[in-house]
Amino acid sequence: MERTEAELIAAVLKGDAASFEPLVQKYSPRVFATARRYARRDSEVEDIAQEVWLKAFDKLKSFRGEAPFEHWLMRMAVRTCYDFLRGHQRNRESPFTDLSEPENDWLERFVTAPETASDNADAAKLLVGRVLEKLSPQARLVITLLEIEDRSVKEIVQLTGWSVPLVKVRAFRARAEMRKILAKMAKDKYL
Amino acid sequence: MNLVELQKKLIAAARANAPADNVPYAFEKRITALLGSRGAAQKLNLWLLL
Repeated sequence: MERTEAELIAAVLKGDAASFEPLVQKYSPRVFATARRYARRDSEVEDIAQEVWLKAFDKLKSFRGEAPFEHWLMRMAVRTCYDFLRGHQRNRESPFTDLSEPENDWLERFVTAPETASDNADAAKLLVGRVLEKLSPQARLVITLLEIEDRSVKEIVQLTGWSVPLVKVRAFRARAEMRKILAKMAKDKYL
Repeated sequence: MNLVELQKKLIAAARANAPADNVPYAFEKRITALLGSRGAAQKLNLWLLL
């Protein structure tokens, strides 16, 4: 019979490290999807996921079972991704002059007829990736959680450990920061 | 260029392209092995200290 999560966690806490494996297997897809929001390279994504699971194992004693294990784990995943962003702030200062042809075409279409520039185009996906890379870690985290993943302020508070006013202030600043980056992109391209 | 509209479009593009959730082959086995080797190293360190 398949053991419940509570049974698996209890077994790990008693020293049976092998009981951790079914938890890793069950929740790794969510951990990997989260890591891919913040890291591009496969090796970085894997490093983040590995760190999340090692932290989860080390801190398992602090899991009280009041909330689902998945919520506890995702808090750890988001905080690990935030640490990753803070440690890897590359490409933030690079100009937008090296846009690919499809990206340039998409922007041209947006300028001439915004309705024809599809949200679902690969070029739009590439462009938003570039813009997100230029955001500060705080701004990127807030934009991702609030605007892209459509999470509530309350959820963000739980995931990040920030207070409600801090999330709101950081969201306001993040949107402004993103617009500033878009203005720079427009300037690099058209001036 | 309408930056507010561009921001909305790009956010919509990011929403429309959710990241993949695939996991490398036998990733869970690797984590288990790593935890096992860490445990063995800790025991060895403890033994060396005694």
